Amino acid sequence: MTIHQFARARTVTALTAAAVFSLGLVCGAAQADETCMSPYMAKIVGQEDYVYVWTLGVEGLGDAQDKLVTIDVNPKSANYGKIIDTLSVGGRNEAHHSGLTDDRRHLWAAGLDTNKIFIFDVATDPAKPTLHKTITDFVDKSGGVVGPHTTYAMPGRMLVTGLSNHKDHGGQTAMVEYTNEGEYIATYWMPKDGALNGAVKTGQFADGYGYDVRALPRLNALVTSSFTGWNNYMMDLGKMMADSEAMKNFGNTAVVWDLHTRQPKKVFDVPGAPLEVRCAWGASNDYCFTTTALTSKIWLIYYENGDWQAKAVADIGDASKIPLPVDISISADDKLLWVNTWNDGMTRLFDVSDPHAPKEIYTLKIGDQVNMVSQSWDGKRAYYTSSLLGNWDKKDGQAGDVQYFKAYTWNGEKLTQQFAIDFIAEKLGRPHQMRFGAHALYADATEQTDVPAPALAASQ
Amino acid sequence: MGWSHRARRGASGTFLAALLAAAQVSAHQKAPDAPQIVAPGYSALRYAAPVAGTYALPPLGAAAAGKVIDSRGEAADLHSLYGDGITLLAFIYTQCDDVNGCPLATYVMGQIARRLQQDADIRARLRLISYSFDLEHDTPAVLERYAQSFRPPGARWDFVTAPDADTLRKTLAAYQQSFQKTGGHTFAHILRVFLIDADRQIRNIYSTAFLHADTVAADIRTLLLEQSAREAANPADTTGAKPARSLDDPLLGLPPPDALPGPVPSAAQAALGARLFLDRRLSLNRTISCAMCHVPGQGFTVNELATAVGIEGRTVKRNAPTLLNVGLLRTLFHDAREFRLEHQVWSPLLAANEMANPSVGYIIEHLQRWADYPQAFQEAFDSGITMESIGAALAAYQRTLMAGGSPFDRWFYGGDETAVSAEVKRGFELFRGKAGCIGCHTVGPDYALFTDEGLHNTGIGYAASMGTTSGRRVSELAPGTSIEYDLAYVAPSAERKPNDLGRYEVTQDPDDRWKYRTPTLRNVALTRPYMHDGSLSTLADVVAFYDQGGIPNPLLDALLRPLGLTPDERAALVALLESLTSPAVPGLVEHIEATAISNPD
Repeated sequence: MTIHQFARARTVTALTAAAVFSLGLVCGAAQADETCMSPYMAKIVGQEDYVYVWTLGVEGLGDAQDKLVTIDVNPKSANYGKIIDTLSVGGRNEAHHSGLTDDRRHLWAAGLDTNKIFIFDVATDPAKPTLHKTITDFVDKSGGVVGPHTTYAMPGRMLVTGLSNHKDHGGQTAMVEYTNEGEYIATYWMPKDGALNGAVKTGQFADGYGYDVRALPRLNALVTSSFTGWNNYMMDLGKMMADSEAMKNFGNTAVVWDLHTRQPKKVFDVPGAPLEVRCAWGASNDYCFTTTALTSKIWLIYYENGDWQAKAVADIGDASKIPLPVDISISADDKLLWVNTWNDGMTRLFDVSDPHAPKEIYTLKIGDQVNMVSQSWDGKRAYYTSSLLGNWDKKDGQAGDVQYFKAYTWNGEKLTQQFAIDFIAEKLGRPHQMRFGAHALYADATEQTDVPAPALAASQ
Repeated sequence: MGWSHRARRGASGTFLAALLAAAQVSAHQKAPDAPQIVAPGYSALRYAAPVAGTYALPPLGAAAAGKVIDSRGEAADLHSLYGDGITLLAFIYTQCDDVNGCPLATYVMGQIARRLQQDADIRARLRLISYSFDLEHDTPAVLERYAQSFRPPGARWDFVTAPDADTLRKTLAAYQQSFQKTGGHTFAHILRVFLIDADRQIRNIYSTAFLHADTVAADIRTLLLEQSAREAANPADTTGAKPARSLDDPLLGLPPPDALPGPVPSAAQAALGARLFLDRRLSLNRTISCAMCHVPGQGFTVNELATAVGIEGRTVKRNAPTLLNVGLLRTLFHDAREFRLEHQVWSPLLAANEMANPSVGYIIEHLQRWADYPQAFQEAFDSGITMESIGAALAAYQRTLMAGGSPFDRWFYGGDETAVSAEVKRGFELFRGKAGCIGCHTVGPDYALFTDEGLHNTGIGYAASMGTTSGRRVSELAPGTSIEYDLAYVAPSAERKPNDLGRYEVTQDPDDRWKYRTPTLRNVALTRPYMHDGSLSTLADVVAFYDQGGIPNPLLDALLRPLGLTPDERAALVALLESLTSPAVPGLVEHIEATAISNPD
């Protein structure tokens, strides 16, 4: 059982609040997915008002540039199911991941190609984000890191994982730390052969590649995964799969770091491009999941008998059909794990109550391709988007060329679609990462407002 | 189940003490109404605390000033309170009843105060500040009572608040301490405790999940060690650029300077060209430099790709050729469509699938605006920044990439019989004998280009255009894990592969279909993968391909025929190819990697 606390209001009647949220942390727990990227972040535990969708521009479609799309997802709103705002940023930057700061006032959205990081103000008016600042010197400030990916909230700062480097556009890369104001702090290179930086190489590989990061504060750990460099993530998927040189350049490692000192501790073999990392919430659930895009497996990275270990615990679909597992989402009670397989458009629900033996218990085809999934804290709502990478998505005119945002409810047995938005028909582009917004997060600091007092978060 | 009720308490200090007691108890046994989970700061650290001085705490920005009133009612400023010591600052309010919020901060600060008191050095340097944002309730008198409940005797621990709402707002904003009044005397806020150094730089920020006396103590000691190290330090180390190899150094086995096809570049021109070569701003979206497809550390080509990838990931249909010894060549590109490097540079700069600059004038205009370029051009070329001087600068740098003097050269042209093995010598006999490689990869009596710069059809291009595909493919998904799959699974994501007709695309002469320029073999061990489309991974693959006689097609070059080489003979040819690596290459790589890069802004 997950105990989830806590806000500061005194009245239980405030549970009727439009958005029930909590500030602070879930003690002794890590983060779930989109509903709480970081253990430090303010969290929406009730009904979210908005989903912000970081969207890739498509040449020849609409204004052809990247944009932040705001969708009203509150069923009580007159605009429910509608796009209420779009904010174009100029250029196609290979929009990919985004993440909120710990105080949830700013959304950092990165471009894997141009290395720009767009910082949106989502607090002043959550219904109408504005562009607060753009970081344009990420490569130079970081000492050559290319492909800013995960933007992960730490106390008062953001940890940004890279995917590549400016020397060769290959996969060796680093994590880069910034203040919440967007000032560069430090660069931490991923451990690799010849430069393990104190880490212990436990298997065959220490490739220095990067992708995602998550923190487990109570174990003083950061866990990172590894994908591939600019050359591969930018090129046409068909060309890449036919290029035997390119296929040799995928990440095969996960790394456990000392969270406090940012020093790498152990490098594990996790062959076949481990992508998203999701750590369990429960106070004694000392593990994280990741999935390998190419080899199509669920891996468990777990702390046992005083040490970190890693092992494959389940297959995802049939690897010979190139399912390409992409985004994953763990439930707040650690019992369920949604796994999307991009190529066949399936969302797959795994029972992970025994993390060493996940079992697939439900599947649904969301579309001809599916990438991201974001679920609400209570697990009752799940949102899906279609786009993986600009040059990996199914091509214009090909079967499966669909770009959508879809909202579902989950009743414990099945997903039911509530609404869908066709991002091609709306001339928007390719929708990628989703983050949630709510008005109740941002009541004015010094005035009494009519926002109902945010109440205590109920747990599962 | 949630933690869903809180009774209103009277004296906040009493309440806090009670909560702390409950929290400490709960580590062992759970009282019925005790919070079920408390922050890690209340119990023993679950992991080994970091060892002070073994890690860095990079500055996170300046700690702002701000007027305050202390618990004696006296006006002060945060900066004067910081002094030249190390400060731990927490924003709190005394009525805060969330055990994992302000009480945690106060509890941990109390522990720090008690523990570090014992160290005289730390005692002299450490200040603790608890800053209340509850102007209405937390008057100096209330703060003083609160302080007396928690402050160990002798600790330098100030309890302060703001003199007015405006100062409070500004100070909280400066520390990004957002909070929200939720009615009465309750506030929702994110707990932040700041560690501030003697230079008033924020060095760490702790939240509920991260705040623990052991880690904070280690951080404080780390800052103290850093300070004493700095005081004792000698002047900063310097990491200057390494000197470049002399530009006119003759290299054994290469043509003499008067036999080169282009001008001998000046040092200023070459230095300017090196900067342009690395400048990622020379592409439309400021992502791609020349060096991205001619990676110095990968033989001035890309070892990790069969065919190049351009701006926005666009497909380039051919393998990026090495730039090593490109200054020796009189024909350029795989289809030999250019003749001078000074002209050649404009093709990738303007190609929509490479660097995609919209026009020549666009590049000139930008270079005129970017700092340092106008002056550098003026110094290197009388004409300043022009289409000609841009080409000349990039060509000048490329003409410095001369790399001869290989073991083969030392043996064949230098007469050093010990420079290569007997196998290499045997390989060379095959090269100019039975295998006939020398027919295209020419070797002269005084120097060798290892290319005739001619155009030949080996059948690789023919097979790619005209061959049939099986519909299935084997790909290595991870080292040692290959999988065979139906191409239909990736077809929807695959663009149509661009056709490549070779020299025909330049001449429109049907006889030129699938002909490509002979590449030099110098440094070939560094420039994998091979052939115009990068389709062969290793030198052994290449030797095996020619041993088969290429791929039959109506336009196959007459020089190609099955060779009937033995395994030993193939190995000897590979050994010869591996003896063509120049010792000059590491210096060329070091030189360009030490060149300062430009800043896309």
